[in-house]
Amino acid sequence: MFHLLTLLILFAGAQAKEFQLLQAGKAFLDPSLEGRAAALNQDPDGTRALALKFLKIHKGDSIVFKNRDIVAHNVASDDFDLRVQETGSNSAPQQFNKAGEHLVHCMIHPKMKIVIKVEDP
Amino acid sequence: MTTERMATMALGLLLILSFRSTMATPVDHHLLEKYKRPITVPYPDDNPTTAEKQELGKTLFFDPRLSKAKNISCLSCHHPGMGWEMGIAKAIGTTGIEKPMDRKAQTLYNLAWSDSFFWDGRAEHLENQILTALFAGKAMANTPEELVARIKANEGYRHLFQKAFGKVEITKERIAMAIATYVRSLISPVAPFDRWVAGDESAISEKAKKGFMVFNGKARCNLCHSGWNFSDNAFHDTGLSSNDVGRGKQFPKVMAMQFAFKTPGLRDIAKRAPFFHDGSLASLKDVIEFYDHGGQVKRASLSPDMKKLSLSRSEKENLYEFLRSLSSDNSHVSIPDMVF
Repeated sequence: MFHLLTLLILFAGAQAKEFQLLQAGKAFLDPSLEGRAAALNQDPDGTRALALKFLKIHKGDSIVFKNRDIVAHNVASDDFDLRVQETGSNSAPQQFNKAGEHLVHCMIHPKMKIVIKVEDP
Repeated sequence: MTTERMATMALGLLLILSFRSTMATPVDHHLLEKYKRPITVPYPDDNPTTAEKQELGKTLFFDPRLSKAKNISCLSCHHPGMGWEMGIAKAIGTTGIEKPMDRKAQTLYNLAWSDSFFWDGRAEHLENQILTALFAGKAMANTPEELVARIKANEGYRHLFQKAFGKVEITKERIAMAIATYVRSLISPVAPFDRWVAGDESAISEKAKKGFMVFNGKARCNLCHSGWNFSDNAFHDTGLSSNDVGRGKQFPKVMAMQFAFKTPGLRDIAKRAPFFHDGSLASLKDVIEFYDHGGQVKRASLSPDMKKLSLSRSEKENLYEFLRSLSSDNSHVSIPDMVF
């Protein structure tokens, strides 16, 4: 049975000065991330960048990208382009059917990138 | 004047001053933290800085003999008194005014923090950007062979290369490394805004402080012009009427990249007119009007973060004052002696 993961891109507010990438479906998380939100920092120079660099999922899993940041994002990889997502919107579930490492990034903010490793169960 | 009257006047003045202080612009100090200047300058591991390399790079930067016709140098498009830009809409290279380049020259301030170069971000390293400028037909139009031969034949440069690299060996890559090292040292000097961020309440006017709040609030400028250099280093279609697809040339199938250009930093912005990649807007006031209208054209690639702002006249004036507070003090750039 395949599972649906959620990647939340959050704006954490002025005080924390950071964004967060939160996940549901912890069973699929890298064990080192268990129990905490994977921080997504804004670099001190103002560049948006993902702090979570790596995520393992199973072949056939899908990810819904939820934009809870205060700006639009455009999640893409070599294989797919989820197009522009306005603040507050969710992507369609993106299924990962090819085992291997996929570089997923934001077209608008190139430093927001994450390697998603798809494993055969 | 009696002592009593003087005391009354002093009391009145005190009341006025305290009234003024209670009327001061409320500013979120957590917000100011986001605009603090960095303490160190990042240099890449494969091209660390040294004083000798900077000296070589600066000499090369100012030297017109790097261009094919020996008539223009890096300085020709990057003027230190104009925020390292040039006050013309499209850069003019060796081909002259009849055949200008396609876009405006960009500021060289704070490129040490950048990880993409040119308006469309097509160069990932500053060294590559410099090599393109040296050899592109509309720019300096030299050839690698001719450039290296000229530098090699110059005794003064041979000495500077020896000092900078420990070897006389001269290559186009080393020429670019030295120029990049100098360019990375061009940090926008302290501006009145920085003094305000550092705690000097008198450094900028109340209008500028209000403008800062408009910038971070109703005008939403900070969504893209973020951080101390006022750029997210990202790519957006802001709805400028232009046929130049920008980053769309590299990503023809990605809608959001059509007509998208890199967010320019705003340091010294009042010295950098005209504005946008094609220099089509003459003044900062025009730029404020542009954003107030949510851009000039609506199209599929337009960033959804572009909205009509409906700023009031005073909000626009305050925003303008704030942008002017980003103008640094004189950078006092000295012209190096050329070597022979």
